[in-house]
Amino acid sequence: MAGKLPRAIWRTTLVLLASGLVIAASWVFTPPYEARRFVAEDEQAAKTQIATPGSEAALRRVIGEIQQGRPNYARMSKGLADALRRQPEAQKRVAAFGPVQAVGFLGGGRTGLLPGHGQRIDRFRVTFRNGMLIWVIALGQDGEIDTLAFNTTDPPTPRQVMDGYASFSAGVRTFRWAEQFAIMLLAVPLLGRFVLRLRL
Amino acid sequence: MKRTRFLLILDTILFVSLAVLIEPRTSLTVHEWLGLTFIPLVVVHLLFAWQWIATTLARLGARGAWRLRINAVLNLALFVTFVVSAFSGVMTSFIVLPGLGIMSANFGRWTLLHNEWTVYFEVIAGLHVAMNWNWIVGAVRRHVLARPSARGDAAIEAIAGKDA
Repeated sequence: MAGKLPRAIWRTTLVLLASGLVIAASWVFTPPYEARRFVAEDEQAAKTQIATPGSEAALRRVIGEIQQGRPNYARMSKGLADALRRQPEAQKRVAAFGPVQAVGFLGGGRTGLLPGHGQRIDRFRVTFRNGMLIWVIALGQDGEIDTLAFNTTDPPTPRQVMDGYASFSAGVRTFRWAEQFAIMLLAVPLLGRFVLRLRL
Repeated sequence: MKRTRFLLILDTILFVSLAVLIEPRTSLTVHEWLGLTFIPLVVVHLLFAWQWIATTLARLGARGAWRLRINAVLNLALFVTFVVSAFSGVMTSFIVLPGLGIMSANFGRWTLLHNEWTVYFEVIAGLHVAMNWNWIVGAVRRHVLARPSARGDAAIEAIAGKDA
């Protein structure tokens, strides 16, 4: 016992020192948060992708409608229309940005981890006269807007992070948990074991 | 064998904690407290694996020890991704650290890092499980099912070394 404690302290110190080295490196090599640079990089990377046909036009149209205070709810899914009706403040925020000057495609993808799962979404940078917003849009099969969201390019506030963290419904949460657990913590070990043949 | 039993419990806690840290997102408070608790548990895990670390470092230059080198690189990557994930998580703490009077800063930058590196950490943790599969099976057979196997016990011995 007498020898074990100093040995444990010494080893813990070494672990902490090694951690300190990693932290120092991550501190040095992590670039500062430059939203406009990240957006420009995304836009450059998205040049090889094609946006969902009609998504940019639908986005321009709905932004115009929101800014005029007359969103066409008939061309949205019921869930989105209900959500938009409940957020008059958000509509006023969009209106305050002024007219749209330019739209840039930032890339698309699906919301699910599994192939074929989730919804096809497109991200756009929209430059207004008074600033810039990042928009996410997804169209339904009949061309109506199924999902629509926007955010500023500023880093999230603590309140936004706290509100957003647990905002999923119970069903979505359960599915995400099962998906995550199955893929990352079961599929990856099996891949490592039987494909990469990792052994001690 | 008490050591193996303890490690099996500790590693099970770590494994389940990692899964819960990532999903389901029930509460940021739970996520932050569990994340902070995770850090000392990993340090204890490292202390118990010290003999393997020391032996591996000593044998890295040995001829034909490529599997050992792969494992060493994998474990080093796991350590680095864990430290970056944990540190960036601490730097973006919105509840626990501010509650202790420590304010986070530059969380735009650290949040990006945290979200990215936790994925790396998770994937490499999965490969770490794969690497230690024989030990896990051996420990479960011996301590949970009470049906020890020669191969499982050999894996336990290989990791325990003379520290056991």
